[in-house]
Amino acid sequence: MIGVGFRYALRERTRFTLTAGGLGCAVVLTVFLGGVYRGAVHGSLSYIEHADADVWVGRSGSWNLMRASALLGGAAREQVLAIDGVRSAEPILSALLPAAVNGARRTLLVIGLDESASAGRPQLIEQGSGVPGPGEIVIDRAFARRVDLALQEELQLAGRRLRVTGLSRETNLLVTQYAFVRRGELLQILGLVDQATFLLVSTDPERATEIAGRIASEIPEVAAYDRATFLANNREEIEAGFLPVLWAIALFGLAVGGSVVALMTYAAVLEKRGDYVLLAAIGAGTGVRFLVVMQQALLAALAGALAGLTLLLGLERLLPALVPEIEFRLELWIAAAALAGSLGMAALGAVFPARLATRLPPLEALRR
Amino acid sequence: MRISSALRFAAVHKVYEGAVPVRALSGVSLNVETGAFAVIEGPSGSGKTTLLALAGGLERPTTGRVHAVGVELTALGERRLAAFRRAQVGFVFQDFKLIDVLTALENVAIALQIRGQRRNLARAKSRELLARLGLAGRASARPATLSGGERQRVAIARALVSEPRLVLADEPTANLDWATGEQVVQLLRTVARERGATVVVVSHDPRLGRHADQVIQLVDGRIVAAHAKEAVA
Repeated sequence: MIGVGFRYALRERTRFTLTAGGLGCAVVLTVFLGGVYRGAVHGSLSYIEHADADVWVGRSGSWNLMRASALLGGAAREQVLAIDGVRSAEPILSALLPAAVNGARRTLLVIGLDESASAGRPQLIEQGSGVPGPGEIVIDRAFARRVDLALQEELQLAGRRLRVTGLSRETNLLVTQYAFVRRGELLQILGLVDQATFLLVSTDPERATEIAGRIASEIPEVAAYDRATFLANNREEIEAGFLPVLWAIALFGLAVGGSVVALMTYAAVLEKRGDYVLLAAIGAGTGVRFLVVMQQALLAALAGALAGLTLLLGLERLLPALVPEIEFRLELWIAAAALAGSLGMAALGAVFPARLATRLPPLEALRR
Repeated sequence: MRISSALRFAAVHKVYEGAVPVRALSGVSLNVETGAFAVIEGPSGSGKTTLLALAGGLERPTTGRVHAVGVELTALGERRLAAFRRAQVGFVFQDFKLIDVLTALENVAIALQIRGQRRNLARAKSRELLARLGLAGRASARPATLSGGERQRVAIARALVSEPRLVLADEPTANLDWATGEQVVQLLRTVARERGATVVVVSHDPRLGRHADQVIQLVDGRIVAAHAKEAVA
């Protein structure tokens, strides 16, 4: 019995394909956006995670790397180094700057590093060096691919010509990418003297939270965060920009998918009305008829979700070549959530047609 | 000797409400004996199908009482009526009403599976009954590939496989040629008797009366004649 719905679904191939296709599109849309979001979060946080800083110290009010614009004066470093437990404090300077290359204009989140910096360098280097020298720049590999730039070629950063000496990985923020230059060079570009956006402080990792608290309380007008807090701050910044849109589109996708199922399943019930009536006449309970309808919706949802996820797997491999800036990460939990969401919306969409199937009067079996 | 009744109508009226109420049955009282093969004859619009619907618990009378295999149907709610049909009644329809996505075997087995029988057991019983009805070689066929007579035999197998105490057949020969109709009715009668089922057939075909233990004639919602076997013969 418990297979009649599956048979209906597979027998009506066009309807099944349309339903599964509609659901698959909804899954692709939702998972793709989720995957891009995860990629952006990963790209943003990976640099911070690998920056070798136990504590991030910035000007009061600077609570994340992407949006920090207030600067610390040169004296701040000495004040931080004077705090008990601080082993080192490396200044980095960050700024969003226009880059021109091969006729294209882009904006880069440029990090200025000191020559001797042990912290703040890009740790994941695909080609070349992660330590920029004078007149040199390390750029994100996705950016390099997008603008067709190779090692030893040049780009203009805020009007200054710099030679590419390294390509980094996991430094892609989707809307922009990290780039690394000498801090002195960046100071000159910005017309500054010895300022920094953050000090990357090394401490005993187990005392990082305590030391961050002491830095913040003992040095005026600075904020200090241990690594976990700073990561959370940056995640919050990304989420604030991404998640509302993402949720809206995901819900819209789910609603469209659910509507497709509702419409197709409703049509299927009307078409097979005689069979449901027969089942009612021979004593099949409402649960059985409900299940027959649900089977059709759930099978279509399963097929649609699996087809969508397969497509996304292919997309994950193709995207770096097609659209390098987009770092798409198809994570297992997102795939599982998409599958569950797809089944859920299919079940929801099929409730009305299923209820219709359970309410058809058995007496109709005797009508000709 | 007390003869038990498989189907009993007591002063049953059925009126379909609407802008113009339609009186389908008017004071119908009848008894069909257990194990009998009863035929209800009458022209179109005489109330035969309504009578069958009431007998099978597909709807309720406006007034009067319907007892089927010892159960007063007028007292049952929808769920219990469905349970009653599932357990006690087998239906044979004029247009066969086979599910086209299922094979002949699956169409029969479905009657057992909705009663909770396991798939393998249901299939084994269904296969056996199909063989008894001469369809051993057609078990895997879809309804669309079966002849009219074969389809009706599958429908009979579906009606009988759960060993119901009451089989209700609505114009079972109407879509069949004369010879096939004869064969199908003979089979229905024989196999139902083997299984101890009471059969009530409604038909406007007077030839079916030849097979009947009881013939009830219905005109304009009223019984105008009822004969037992001896009288029919």
